[in-house]
Amino acid sequence: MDTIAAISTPLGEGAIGIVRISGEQALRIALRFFTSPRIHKEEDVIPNDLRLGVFSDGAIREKCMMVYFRAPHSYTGEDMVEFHVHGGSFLVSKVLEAVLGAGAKMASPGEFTKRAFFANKLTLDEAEGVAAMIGAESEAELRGAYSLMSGRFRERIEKLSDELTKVLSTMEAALDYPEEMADEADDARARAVSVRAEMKKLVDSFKEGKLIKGGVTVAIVGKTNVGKSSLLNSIVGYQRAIVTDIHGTTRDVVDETIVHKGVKLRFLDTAGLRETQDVVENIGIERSLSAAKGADVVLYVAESNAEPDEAEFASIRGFSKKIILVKNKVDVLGVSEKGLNVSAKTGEGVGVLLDEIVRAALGDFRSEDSLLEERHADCLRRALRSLDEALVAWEDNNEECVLVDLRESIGAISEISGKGATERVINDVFSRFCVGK
Amino acid sequence: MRYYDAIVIGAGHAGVEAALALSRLGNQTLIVTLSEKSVSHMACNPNVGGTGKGHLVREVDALGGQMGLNADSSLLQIKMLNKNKGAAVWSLRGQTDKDVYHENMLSTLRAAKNLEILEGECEDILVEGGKAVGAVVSGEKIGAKAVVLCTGVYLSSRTITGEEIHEAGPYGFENAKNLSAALLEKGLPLRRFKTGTPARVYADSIDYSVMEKEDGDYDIGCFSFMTEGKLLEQTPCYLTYTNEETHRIIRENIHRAPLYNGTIHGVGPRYCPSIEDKIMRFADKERHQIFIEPEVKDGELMYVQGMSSSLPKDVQEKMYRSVKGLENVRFARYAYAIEYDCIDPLALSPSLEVKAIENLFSAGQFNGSSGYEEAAAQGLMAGINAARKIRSLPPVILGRDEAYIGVLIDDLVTKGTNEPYRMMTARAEYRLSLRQDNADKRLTPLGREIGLVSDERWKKFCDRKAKKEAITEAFKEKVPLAKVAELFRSKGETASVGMTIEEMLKRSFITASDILPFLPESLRDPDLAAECQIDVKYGGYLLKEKAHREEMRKMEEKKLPVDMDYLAMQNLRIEARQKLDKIRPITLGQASRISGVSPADIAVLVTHLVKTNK
Repeated sequence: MDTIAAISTPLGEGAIGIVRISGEQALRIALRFFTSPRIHKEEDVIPNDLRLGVFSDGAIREKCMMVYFRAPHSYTGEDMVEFHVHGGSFLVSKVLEAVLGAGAKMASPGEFTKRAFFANKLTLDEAEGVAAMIGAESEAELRGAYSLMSGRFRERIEKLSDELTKVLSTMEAALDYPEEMADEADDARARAVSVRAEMKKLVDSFKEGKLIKGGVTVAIVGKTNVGKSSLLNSIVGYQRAIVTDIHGTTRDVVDETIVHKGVKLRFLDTAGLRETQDVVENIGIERSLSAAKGADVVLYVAESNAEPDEAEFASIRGFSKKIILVKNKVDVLGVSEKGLNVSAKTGEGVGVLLDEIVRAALGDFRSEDSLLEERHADCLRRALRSLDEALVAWEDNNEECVLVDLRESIGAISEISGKGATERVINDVFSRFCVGK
Repeated sequence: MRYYDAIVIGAGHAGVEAALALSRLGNQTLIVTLSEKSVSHMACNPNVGGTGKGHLVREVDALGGQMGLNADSSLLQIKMLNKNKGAAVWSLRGQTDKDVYHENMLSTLRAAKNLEILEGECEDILVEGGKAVGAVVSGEKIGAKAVVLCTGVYLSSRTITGEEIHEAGPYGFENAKNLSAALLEKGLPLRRFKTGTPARVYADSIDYSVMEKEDGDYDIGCFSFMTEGKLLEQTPCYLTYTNEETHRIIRENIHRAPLYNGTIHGVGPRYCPSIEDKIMRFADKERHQIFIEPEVKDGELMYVQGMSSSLPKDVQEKMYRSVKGLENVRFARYAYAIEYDCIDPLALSPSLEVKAIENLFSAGQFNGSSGYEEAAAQGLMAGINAARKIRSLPPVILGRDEAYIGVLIDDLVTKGTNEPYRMMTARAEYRLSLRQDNADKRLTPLGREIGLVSDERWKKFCDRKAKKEAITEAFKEKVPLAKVAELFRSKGETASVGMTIEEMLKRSFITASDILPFLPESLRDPDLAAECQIDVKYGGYLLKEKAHREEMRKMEEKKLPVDMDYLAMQNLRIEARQKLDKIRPITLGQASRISGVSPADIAVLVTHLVKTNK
């Protein structure tokens, strides 16, 4: 059986968020991300022991707690792992995403409870408790999942599954009616390839979709004393960061969130970049770079009469595609031809800068076109994986294997739309082809 | 009053399997037919098998049924459909001599122990205390512990050719006039379906020289696992096409088509459209295939597949004669549509017992299916389960992952059908595992347990199985590099290491016959080796199917109590409550396949089960 995972706390802001994993691979997957001084291999993990450690995956590196429940002594009766991380939907969904990327499957509504049932783990009291809950929650989720999707996204999903159904029905018709279908032109593969392209686009749009849900992280970096903290203060509208004329005032990353044009922007003010012997400051600079790495948009701030440091700029460009060159202090130093002119002190240009940040992060992305829900993204990712496998099997002319993968792919999409595949395919066969004696 | 263990009503493809299964399992059985002439009559196409259907025939055979053997005894031609595709979708189809098919089955019935044939019309089912206890045949009350309804298309049937309507069964046979009303009175949900058949024409009035000749395959086996050898002498079929002129004639006369002017009310199958239906629905198509198939060996009649119609006779003559090679064709029988009564299969449990009347079973077209093979498969299962009911044994219910038969019956009793149901491979989720070559491996042990597999068949099965296992074991033998390289070179490929036979077979360019020389001499059976390599070739995909099957199995193992009060379960959505109450699924798995029952409803059922189990 697959290993499944889901966020078990309500989405939104909260002190703690819990990501739950259940199945044979739970611990193996968890230890790909979790490190703790006394834990080096699976055997080191003590069951039922809440342990502090670090969850790291690419951009994220978060202190968190992990607890492992060994089968059968868990809710589902399977091996289970829970990550207790700092709340905030952005972080929790990052953790879930990492876990799904490592091979876990997104749990469907009620699936943890279903597994618990199959393992005979549910007692009477618990069952009564969850009965109402599941009824209410997953029903809402199931109905909601589809109706929540705004018009265009629903259309795109339906188009994908309609197209894929056509591919499938063409091939199924050829299998069930080999003689009659000999006359029909077969464009199944070409169709599948174009569905794949569209599906990939949608899956990729989840990056933007998540930015809308979770917020856009913006790192403010640059040399010392170019006015990064002043810029932050100007943006948030009060003296959030300490501002002095002394180089290297900001030592740690300062974090503040605003909403601009409906998009959550989370700003990270960082220590200025410079060569220094100060141990504390050097740690701060390291953190600046790592904040920039994890950010969706980087503001590289320079004084408006100075050229940016080529080496620094290039190194940031190495890990971030969305950099905005901000020329600060235009009120004193004059307007620059390169970059976006602002004055943190007078607020001049800050509005334009905010617009520019949203544009850089989201482009002309529109939320109603795209994937916003992790569950939808998981379904589509699986659909894409199966479709890719189908295309590989096609290379070897294994048509009946292609069909296994295509069915899986449609199945994964129908988990979003809730429509079964088989009946649709059969209906399609008879409406599109003249087959039968 | 006479008494039997079981009465089977109808001796078509479902009835004969049910009666043979019952009698072979030691029950005194009476099979009732309007006429002995209609026993196993092939009222439509003169062939057995086809895609999906070929699988059914092999499965019926593997369980100890009769259809495969009877088809083999009357074969005129045999073909493996989809031979150019993978082994999972190969399907056998055999042209049969209709007369021989009928005669051989009739002889089998006559020779069967515990089985009696009675000519007459069944007019009513005797029911006492909610249980079937016999039947009324031509006025005589006959007692029985179980009754199996296999009435085919005979219930209040009428045939339609243009303006001509006859109260009759197929091929001019008598119909059953009284049973429908009696069943309705007992509360069975009957409805009206429609099907059709093309004309039969004189063989000597056809110009075959302008048609394409369609030969059979000479290198393949037959339907039954018991039949040795290959069919060496075969009769060809012929292929021709409709043309613009044919289509024009149909379009100009469409107002005279009963389907289009409202004479026919029954629901017809989409996969078996009449020619007028094809022309009207697919106006863009320039031509449609017409196959000319022999009704019997060297006989005077040919079957015109693809030209099913209910248009008036004069229009039929014009349109048939517009087809290349049929310019001078003479008609022996005109095409007709037939309407008949059948049951809504949602009224049946998966054992094919009628839910409302205990000990009453049904099978075949009466259950809303179409096709000889679908009928035979259900007949066999209804017969087996009636026999088990008589002995108070639990029913045999095949899973969707065990057999096409399981898919067929589960679809009918869980999803229902709005048109005559045809088996298709597209309906089987586990197509790679449910192959025609391994039907015996899947089902013969079960058939043995049930008691339908003879010692002879069992011995043959065990030998075949042992040999296949030995071959599969030998696939693990390592072959030295020199030999591998030599073989690969002959295919224009290179090899740099020695490898096992299995590893070689995983390459798409290596076939079973290539590796034959590497097997021990006693195991060099090309047919068996070819079958064994299928599992190797599908390897990874079989694992994918297995994962899905295991998930489904868990749901199938959770039984739902028969007396569950769905209507009172507040947490279920109303649609789910009603559907569950009507269909009364026997497992969670079956419940989950009902349209209108959502995963959330299943979760509610799950928690309810936990509560009540404590």
